Amino acid sequence: MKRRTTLKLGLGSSLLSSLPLTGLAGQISRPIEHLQVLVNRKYTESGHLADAMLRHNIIPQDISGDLGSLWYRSIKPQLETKPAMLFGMTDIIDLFCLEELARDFGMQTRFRLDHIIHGNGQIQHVPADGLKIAEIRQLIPASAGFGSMAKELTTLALQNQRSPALHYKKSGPFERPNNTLLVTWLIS
Amino acid sequence: MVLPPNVSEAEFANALSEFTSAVGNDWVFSSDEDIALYRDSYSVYWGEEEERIASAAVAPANVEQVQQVVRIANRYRIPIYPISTGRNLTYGGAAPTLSGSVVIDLKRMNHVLEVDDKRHFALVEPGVSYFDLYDYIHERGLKVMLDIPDPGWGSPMGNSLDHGVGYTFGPYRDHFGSHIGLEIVTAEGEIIRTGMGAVPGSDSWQDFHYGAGPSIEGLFAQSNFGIVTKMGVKLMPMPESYLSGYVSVPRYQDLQGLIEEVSYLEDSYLIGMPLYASPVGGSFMNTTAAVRALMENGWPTMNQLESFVSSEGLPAWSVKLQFYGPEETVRANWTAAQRRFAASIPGATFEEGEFLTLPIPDADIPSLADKVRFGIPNLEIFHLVARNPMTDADPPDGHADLFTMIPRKAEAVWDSARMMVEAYRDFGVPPVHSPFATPLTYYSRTLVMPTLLPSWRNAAKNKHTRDLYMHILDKAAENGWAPYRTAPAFQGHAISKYSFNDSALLRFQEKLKDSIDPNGIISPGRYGIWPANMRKIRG
Repeated sequence: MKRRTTLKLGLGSSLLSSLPLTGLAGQISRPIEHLQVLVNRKYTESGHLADAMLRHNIIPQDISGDLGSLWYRSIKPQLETKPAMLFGMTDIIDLFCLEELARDFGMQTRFRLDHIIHGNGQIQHVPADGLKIAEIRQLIPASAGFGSMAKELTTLALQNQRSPALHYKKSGPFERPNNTLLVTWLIS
Repeated sequence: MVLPPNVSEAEFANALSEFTSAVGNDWVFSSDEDIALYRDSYSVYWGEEEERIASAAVAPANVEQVQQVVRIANRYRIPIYPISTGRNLTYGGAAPTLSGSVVIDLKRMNHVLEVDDKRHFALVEPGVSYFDLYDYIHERGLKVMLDIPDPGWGSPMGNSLDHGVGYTFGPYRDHFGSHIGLEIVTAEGEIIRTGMGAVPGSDSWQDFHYGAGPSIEGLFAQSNFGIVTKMGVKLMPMPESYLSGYVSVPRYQDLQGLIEEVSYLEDSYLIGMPLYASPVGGSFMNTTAAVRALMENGWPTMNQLESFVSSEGLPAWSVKLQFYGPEETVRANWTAAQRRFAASIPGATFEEGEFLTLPIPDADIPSLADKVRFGIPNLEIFHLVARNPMTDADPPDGHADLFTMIPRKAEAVWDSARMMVEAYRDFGVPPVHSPFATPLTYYSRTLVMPTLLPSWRNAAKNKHTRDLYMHILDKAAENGWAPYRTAPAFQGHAISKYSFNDSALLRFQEKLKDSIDPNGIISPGRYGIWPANMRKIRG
């Protein structure tokens, strides 16, 4: 709970050089010690992200069970011993709960990219303020399977951390019907 | 930055410096980003001038630091607002009642001090969550069961002090009722222990809560008379087994008999939480199209309701009974319950539900439905309610709960449901209640007619919610009903309904406030209790 340390880790790209993130946007060859990746395998695209991370020796944590159990028994103890940023693709309910829980470490959402999967299968990426959709499209396709490429968003997220005012507590946990809203986010 | 009322920027800077000396540089939070963390996600004033915003937060590590913080706040006359985990959404979350207050975040005081599974109690600090306490018990194989709220990320202390509730056996569902011994830091920085805790060397602090002389524990729940730093919790011995059974009754007017028999079983300590439903009327706060049609020409008569039930061919009401204890007794109690219902309600039918041996094996927990009935903390409620018929058309961002306490009588259930329907219609809002609305049973000796009003990231919509909330409060009070807790935005209005004898209760509480906390620093305005120096801003 030494939240100052944690907070400073996430304050900007100038600190990236102190993190073992070299080559993230291209090939990830070794575990990232300061980044915990969270996925929800209940969702296909989030599962694709998990598989992509695993191929690069990054072991994501799956929150498809109960997020509370995972937070209190795994994520929180890890954050207490080693400050880290959290990166993931989940639904908005998970993100909402994580935002509430991360307060104990002074952490908040600093990057958010919504992925709306419409009932007809159409996929729409909706960047938050400050991000260009063209930039997003260079990294991930607006089609099924985009989760496999979503690891490329890690660097983008780290480099585009914004004031939490743009992303933090943007909404509550309630979902819209007839589509699935996934979110790629960075909490630091 | 929001400043505390009547405190200059320079004075506040000095106070923050002193807070830092008391708790350390890492534990005083005053940047805009820090303060944003303490916003109430479900605020009905989100983004408006009236949204409750902290000026800073301070996280003491122990009782001594709490004492120092309180003394500093007293010197500078800075309002402070203690939170345990600050996740009591719909009741304010981590945001203070009064903007400009310094949140005292007790998250670092997170020690389970003792759990005794022979005398069945725990002693905890404020920052201990239900997950923490459950894990402490579980890892040690202690033979006690928690009663928890939903979601389980709150703290036993914070939930109890807010009159929070659970889902198992009556005496344990009332969380403040099942506390046993408090340690409190007063506004002057003195430490008090209640009951036997006041006897030096006593080993029965968590066994007997009265001690001798007046009991004062209730003054520290839903209030602003001190900061509770330790609390005992009565724990249920781990039951050997669990059995559920369903009772259904055929006629609309059978609700009265159903309630009477359930009350007999509850007050005799034979059942856990009873769960009412209406097979013919729809699920909780969600009526069927047929019921909506029945309501089109106003509130149906009793004859119309009985005819409707008869024509639908479904029971009018049902109740799920839950039994905890040795297999011999839970089966015997279920048998006795059936005999009583059959004797008093013609046509009552019965169906046995689940029988489970407790504790639930670890491997079975992930797939277990309704974990709260076994005191297993989780956050599943968010996924369960995040998409439902009430929110699908236009999903809100949160909700403000209005739980009106009504007597255990069918007439009160029907009248309160009708009041809700009419109040919604007064505002042009489709009602979510119906003649088949069923009450909640959080407290064993009263019923609750609930409604959940949406909150938004939209000022106009929030105003509508606030106005409707106030309207329902007014209508409820006209019938003698009032909520047992509410969000800070509504606390003053709710307390104004407790107005017997020119609000003698509140006037007495404020006399105490002025004496106990003369500078009015602790949680000004909480549940309508304002210190003398701020009383003019009430409302």
